[in-house]
Amino acid sequence: MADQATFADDALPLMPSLYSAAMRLTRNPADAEDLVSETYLRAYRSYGTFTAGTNLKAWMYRILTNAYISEYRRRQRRPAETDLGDVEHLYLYRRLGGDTAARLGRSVEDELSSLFTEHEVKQAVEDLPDYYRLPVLLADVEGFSYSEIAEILDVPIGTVMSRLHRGRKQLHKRLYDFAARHRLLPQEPEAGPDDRS
Amino acid sequence: MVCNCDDACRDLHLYLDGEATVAVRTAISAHLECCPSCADAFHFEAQVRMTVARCCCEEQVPESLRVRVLRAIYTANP
Repeated sequence: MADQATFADDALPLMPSLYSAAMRLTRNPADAEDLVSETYLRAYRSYGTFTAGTNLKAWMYRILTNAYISEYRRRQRRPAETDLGDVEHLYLYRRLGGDTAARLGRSVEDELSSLFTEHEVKQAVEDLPDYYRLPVLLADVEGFSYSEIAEILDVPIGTVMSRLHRGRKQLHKRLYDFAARHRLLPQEPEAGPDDRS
Repeated sequence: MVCNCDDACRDLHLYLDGEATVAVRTAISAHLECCPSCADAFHFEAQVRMTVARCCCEEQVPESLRVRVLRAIYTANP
C-alpha cells in the first residue's frame, strides 16, 4: 500500500509524459490541463489502493485513460471517426522507403524529418480514432508492453495487438498523405502507373 | 528455427515491440543479418516509430499546471 504523503514526489515526475499524452487525446492545451489535473486528483485520492513498488506509470495511465473516456471524450465535438479500411503491409515503406537515404546519402531519420513536420506527425496521431490512438500512443510513444496496455485499457491482449496493428497502418497512411503533399507524390487513390496499387 | 522474408515481415511488429518469443527473435535477427532488403524495411519501420515518439513526447508542461496539481493535492489533504 502506497503512502499518500509521498504521492507528489512519486507521481509528479510523470507529468511531462502524462501531459503529452493528454495533448494527443484532447487535442488542445486547456482540456489537456484539465485532464491531467483530474488524473492527479483521482490518483491522489485512491493512492492507498496502489501497491507500492508496482508499475506507477501504468497505474497513472490507466487513471488518465479512464478519466479521458468518462469525462473529456464526450465533451469534444468530434468529426466522424472513419476507419480507413485495411491498409497493406509496409504501406509507408513501400512508398517512401525505396527512394530514401541510400540514394541521397542521408539517414532515414533525416529523410523522415524532411517528409513531414512535427506538427503533421502530431496531427496524424490525433486524427486516429480513439480505439487506435490510445494503443498507438501507449506502445509507440510511452513504450508500454502489450500486457501493460491490456491492463491500462482493460481489454484482452489480442485486442491490443490487432488495434495496434491497424492503428499503425492508418497512422502510416496519414503520414504518407502529408509526405505526398510536400513531395508532390501521387495522392491516393490516384496511384501512378508504377507499383503504387 | 529458420525464417524467410514473409515470416520476418509478418512478425515485424512483434519483433520491434520486443514481444516476440526468443526463438522468433533469434530467427528474425539471423534473417536480417543476411537479407539487406528486410533489414532496410525493419530499419525504416523502427525509424518511423522513433520519429512519432520524438514528435509526440516533447510537450512542455505549463508551470501553472504543476502549481494547480500541487494545490489540488494539498487542498484534498484530509
